Amino acid sequence: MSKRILVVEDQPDNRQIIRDMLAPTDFEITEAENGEEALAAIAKQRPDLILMDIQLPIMDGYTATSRIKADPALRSIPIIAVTSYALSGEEKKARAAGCDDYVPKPFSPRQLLAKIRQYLR
Amino acid sequence: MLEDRASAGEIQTALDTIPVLICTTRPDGTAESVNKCRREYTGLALDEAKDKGWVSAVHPQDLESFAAKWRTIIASGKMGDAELRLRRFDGDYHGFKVRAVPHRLSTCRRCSTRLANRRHGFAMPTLRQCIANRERNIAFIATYGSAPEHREFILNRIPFEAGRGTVLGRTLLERKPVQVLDVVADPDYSLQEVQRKFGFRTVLAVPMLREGNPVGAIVLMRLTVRAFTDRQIELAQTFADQAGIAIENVWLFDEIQDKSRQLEEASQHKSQFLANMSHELRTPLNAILGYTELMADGAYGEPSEKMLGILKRLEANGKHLLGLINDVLDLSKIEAGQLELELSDYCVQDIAQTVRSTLEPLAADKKLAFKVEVAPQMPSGRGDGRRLTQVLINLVGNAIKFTDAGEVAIKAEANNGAFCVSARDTGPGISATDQAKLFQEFQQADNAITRKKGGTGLGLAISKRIIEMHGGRIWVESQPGKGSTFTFTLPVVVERQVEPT
Repeated sequence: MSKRILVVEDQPDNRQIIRDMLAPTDFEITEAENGEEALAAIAKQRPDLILMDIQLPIMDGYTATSRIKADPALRSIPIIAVTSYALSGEEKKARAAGCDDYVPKPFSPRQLLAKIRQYLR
Repeated sequence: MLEDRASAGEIQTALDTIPVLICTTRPDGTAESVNKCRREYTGLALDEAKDKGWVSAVHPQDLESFAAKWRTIIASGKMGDAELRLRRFDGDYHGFKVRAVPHRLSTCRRCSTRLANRRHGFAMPTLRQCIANRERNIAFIATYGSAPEHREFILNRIPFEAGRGTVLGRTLLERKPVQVLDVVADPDYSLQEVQRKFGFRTVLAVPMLREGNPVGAIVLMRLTVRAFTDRQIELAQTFADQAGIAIENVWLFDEIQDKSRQLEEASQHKSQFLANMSHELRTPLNAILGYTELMADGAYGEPSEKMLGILKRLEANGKHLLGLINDVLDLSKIEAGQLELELSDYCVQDIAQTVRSTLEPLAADKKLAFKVEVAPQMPSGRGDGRRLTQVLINLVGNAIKFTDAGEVAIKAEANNGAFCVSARDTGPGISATDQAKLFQEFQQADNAITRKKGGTGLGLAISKRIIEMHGGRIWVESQPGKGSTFTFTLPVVVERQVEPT
């Protein structure tokens, strides 16, 4: 069975890039535009990995991550923060919120895919 | 100064036997006891002479000088002599040599402390008030012979405004000391109601001036009709001048604090703005670089050779733009004191390799040799490896940018607990004048270079700060025509970020 990736990202271009990046792979993709939608999507169908933008409308990526990591049933899902929010200590904050990994934007699709494969071997 | 009530009677008896005029007083000058000899001379009974009564026997012209002497004696705690005329029971005055002896050291000390406290109690609230009421003018009122709480009460009933109706108003109007011998007899005086309640008669007001404008005043009130002497007025004015200066200092200090708070806020806003801007600038860049890479990788069909070339150019330019944005963000963080080193273990060999793999293609494009000479057996370092990589990329990137033929070389070694890393090129070299400017923000050796070679001119300034935060040093050695060598040294182990000076 193919692995499912939840992409939480409010920028249509960035969702498109990730979609195109994953197109040649056999990963399945679900999309959410903010933290709230992400939680709803997870409740519907458990993903195997989450790509989490941090600066999001309605509910930001930190909050969504903390909620997911607070749920024992969901805690094991790896979350990769993908963010262009560039204040210092951002990586530390992302990890403190419970993110398993951190990829700064602009990201190289090639490198992001390699990172995803690390978690979904 | 008799404090011990049990022995007061005995002492009184003893004093009565002495054929010299003696009176004992409290620190404020009110009499506690008057001996027999003195009672007989002045003709005043004990009740009449007690408290302030004894003063009535002193010749009015001697009172001020004696009071001054008295204060000196009390303040110093040391015995003192004075001359004054005392009225005899028949109304004649006779000159006396008077000796005042502070009684008991402990009591004396207490006197002087009490006086000091009273001074303190007067001055401190005024200063506090000044701070609290920065926008408001202030008057201080001292009344002779009435309770301190009356001061506040009276103060609240005297308007702080220039006018003929009050003595305070007149001093504000005239900007010099004003004395009214008897406010009851003054036709212009308008605060009769307050006057009747508290009974003050002679009033002196001296202004506190700031750049010639009154900011406050000191008002002295007497319950009797008796003029303040020139000396007293002068003293009050001196105090008012000092208070004026103190108030001005407090205001200035407050203003400076406000200013620096505002500046700090503005600086915070600026760096927040730059951080936000940088985010806004990176977001579209993510799309540009992302699509470019996907296209080059054939996600949208195999690109032709020509297209691949263009895509590479697109990527290079996008990355350059990203570098510029990062530089501006770094500098804003440095300026806001927000740049923090993330300390972890690093390996100099790895850093050199990262720099090589990043920049060797650029050197190859210009047909430059790229050398890396890292000494064997280098110890593992502790510091911010990512930032140190950034510094070396900057130095080597510059070397490649400015060198048209020959080579660029990275050299690294460890000596005496410090790493020494350099980037050497065979470029045009830098004149001594330009070397001095290199590490300053927004400076490139030649502004024309910015147009030709690009760059923000921030790279070396940022590198310098990063190295200094590691407790290290960075410098350049160069001669025009003979290439340049940029070198930095830093401790192998950095446990704590060095605050910039």
